[in-house]
Amino acid sequence: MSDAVDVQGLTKSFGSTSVLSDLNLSVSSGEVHGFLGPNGAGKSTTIRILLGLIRPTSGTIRLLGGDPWADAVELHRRLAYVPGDVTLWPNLTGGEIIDLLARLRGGINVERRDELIERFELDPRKKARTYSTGNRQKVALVSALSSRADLLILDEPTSGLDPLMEVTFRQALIEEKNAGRTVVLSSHILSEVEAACDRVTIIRKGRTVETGTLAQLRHLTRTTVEAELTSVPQRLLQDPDVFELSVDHNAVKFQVEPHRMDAVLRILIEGGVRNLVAHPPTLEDLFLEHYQNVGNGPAAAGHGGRHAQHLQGATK
Amino acid sequence: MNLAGTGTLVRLVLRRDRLILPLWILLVTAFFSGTASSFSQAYPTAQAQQEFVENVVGNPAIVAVIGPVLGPGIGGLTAWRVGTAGSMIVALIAILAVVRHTRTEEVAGRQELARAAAVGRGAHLTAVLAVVGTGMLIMALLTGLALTAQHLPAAGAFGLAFSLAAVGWVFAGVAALAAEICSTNRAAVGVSVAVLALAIVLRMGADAGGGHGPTAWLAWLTPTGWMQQVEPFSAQRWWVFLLFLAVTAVLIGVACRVRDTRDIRAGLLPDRPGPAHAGRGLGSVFAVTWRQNRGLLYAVLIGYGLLGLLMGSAAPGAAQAGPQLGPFLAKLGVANGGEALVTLLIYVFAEILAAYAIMVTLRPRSDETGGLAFVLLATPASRTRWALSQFVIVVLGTAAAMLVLGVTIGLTYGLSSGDLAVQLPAAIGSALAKLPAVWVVAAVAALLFGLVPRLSVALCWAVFVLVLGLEIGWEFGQVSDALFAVSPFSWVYPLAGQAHAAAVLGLTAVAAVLGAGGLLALQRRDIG
Repeated sequence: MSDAVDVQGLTKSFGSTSVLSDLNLSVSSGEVHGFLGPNGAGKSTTIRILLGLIRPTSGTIRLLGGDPWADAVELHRRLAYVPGDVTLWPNLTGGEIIDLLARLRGGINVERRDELIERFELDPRKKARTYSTGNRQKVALVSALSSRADLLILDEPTSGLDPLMEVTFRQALIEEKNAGRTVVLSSHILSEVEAACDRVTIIRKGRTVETGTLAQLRHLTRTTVEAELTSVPQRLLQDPDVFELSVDHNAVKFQVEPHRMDAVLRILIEGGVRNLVAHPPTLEDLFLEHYQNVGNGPAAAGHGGRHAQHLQGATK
Repeated sequence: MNLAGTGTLVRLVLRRDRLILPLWILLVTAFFSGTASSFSQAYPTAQAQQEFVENVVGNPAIVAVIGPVLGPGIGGLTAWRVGTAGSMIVALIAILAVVRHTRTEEVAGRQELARAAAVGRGAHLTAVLAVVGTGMLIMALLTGLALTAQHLPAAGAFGLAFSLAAVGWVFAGVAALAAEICSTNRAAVGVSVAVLALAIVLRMGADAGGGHGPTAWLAWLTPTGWMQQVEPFSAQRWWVFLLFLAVTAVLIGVACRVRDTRDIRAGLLPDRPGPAHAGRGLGSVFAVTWRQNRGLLYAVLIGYGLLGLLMGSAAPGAAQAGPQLGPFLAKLGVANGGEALVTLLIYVFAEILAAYAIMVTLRPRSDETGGLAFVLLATPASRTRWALSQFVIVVLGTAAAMLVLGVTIGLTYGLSSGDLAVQLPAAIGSALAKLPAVWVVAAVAALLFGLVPRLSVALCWAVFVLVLGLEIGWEFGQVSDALFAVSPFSWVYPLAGQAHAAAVLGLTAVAAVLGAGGLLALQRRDIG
């Protein structure tokens, strides 16, 4: 029961097109889990499978200790969902919809609801048809955050919110985390993920490519080093663990695997260091790497071809 | 009103409708010329045509639903046969096209995009009216040519074809105005279709007394009535076209006026704030299904009530129909033409109610494609409950509609014929006995929604057209009894001495089995 979500080897095909192949996702109870991937990677399909709305082709899936397809109704009493593209009943008001969903789920924290309506600056008396995208999202968010559900499944919940409301959402999310709720958060807003998520899973083309804490993921990714040297040592140009090297007179810029940092620094010192900046990969680098490159295993991206090319360019 | 950009928008409308536009023009033309040629094959001699006309005029329900035969020969028969159906089709085409390119564009936000360019306020409306209006003219020209080619008098052929186009213009005007007044496309279509339904009901009321009854003047209140009044093959009242043009001009003029003064995305009525909290009743799947469906149900109930009142009051006019009715009345087991009209109209309107049943049953499909189903089904609401709540609306809604029809028609006919104690219960019983056939159609729709969601909308309407087609074919002797038995309505057709108890039970059982199959299929499939 410690895992709120446990998905192993999930596949899903619609006819002959395969949308998910070998997807793994495990979310512990009480953690905020970032679920990331480029558009069309299969995030929403995975979430719909978790909700028991579509049936997996193969794989084992446990959600809150149950089978999402067979026990959908029972499980839905314990979760709240915010869809990526929120559709609401056009002739009901936002307030009516929040209450309706709460009654369908079987519980609402009334104080929390009123407080969130206030904080999100939502007018609950307007008909859903007249709401903008952001306001529809607020209705779904207030409904989910004020529910008594154990698990929140949020599919890009801030894509339509303004920056102020995004901050409000982030605060609310941290409140949920402190209250011990489990959250699956699919998002493209990296700062949001960085601020709130304990662990992340990155998927690409229906496959899990990376999972772990942000620190672990950073560890697998190269650090960028910029240095101004007295002279550029030949050994640096030939070192197989130096990537994306560019040389401009005596200034060098390159990337290096964390475990080789020590050795590479010694080479730099040979050249006489006048100035040195090293920074760990930003979350953005991390994503770009996983989103752009073809690769199945951890940290498989970016090796080989590009390295050789840049090195050639640098030595010319 | 500024019309800048209209030319480009005309091309946009033509591009977006490049398939449907020629398709409907050709289909309507084919429908007309096909009807004319099948008449000349089935009734080649003047005597055969005369016999057919006498039989038809003898059946008051057919006169009420389709209208009286006006004018001699194949021309008169064709005008009679295609009048109601043709004007309905043309009006629906005009309504759907106009709303699609005006209010729907606006609600979707695409009009905003276009009008941010150098495009005038009136361009969208003008563009679609130009396309629909011209389309109607082309359709009329082709139809006129096709009918003339079948040796019908040219004046009559073109008169008939253009009167049909004129009905299309009027309803393009109705839809243009509705799209300006209503703030959603759904409401605009709803209002326009309600006006069309009213137009048809008024025309039926005018003809229920055989075309000369006390309610005959109603024909002058409705465009479908004017179409008859043109009488292209006999009286040739061409001045009626002025009436069509004047009404179209007024409707479009008012629509332009509204458009010139209102804000984009706004309707005539401002959106008022609603309740900040859900009322006590709004807390279940059924409650939200009811909220989605109640508007349409109220409209159907009001429509059927009006229909019943009108038909019941007009029916005594049919009681004095000619002596040639004898065998026909005996077949139905009724005493006179009035009773025959009441019995048959209840039957016909039960058949038409199947369209409502299909609409309600397919509602979850549009929730599924629109995304609402994801919101609802991610709560503890089960799929079964979701589907069952629609079933409840279908079963009770259709029952309420038939009850309203039975009560109103029985009451008015009973009062005017002085035989209330017999007529009222008879009408109610007859109305309710048709329900299981309606439910079978709804259950077929539920099964299709469960099994083949993507095809369900098209297939369901194909089923409806099939049921109507079998009915019409059987009435005119072109469909055998055995084939007609495919239609659930054949089992509740009002024939003398036939007790419907077994059919009612059997059809209910079939509906229950099909509905249960639909539920099972829905359990097993992906949503979306």
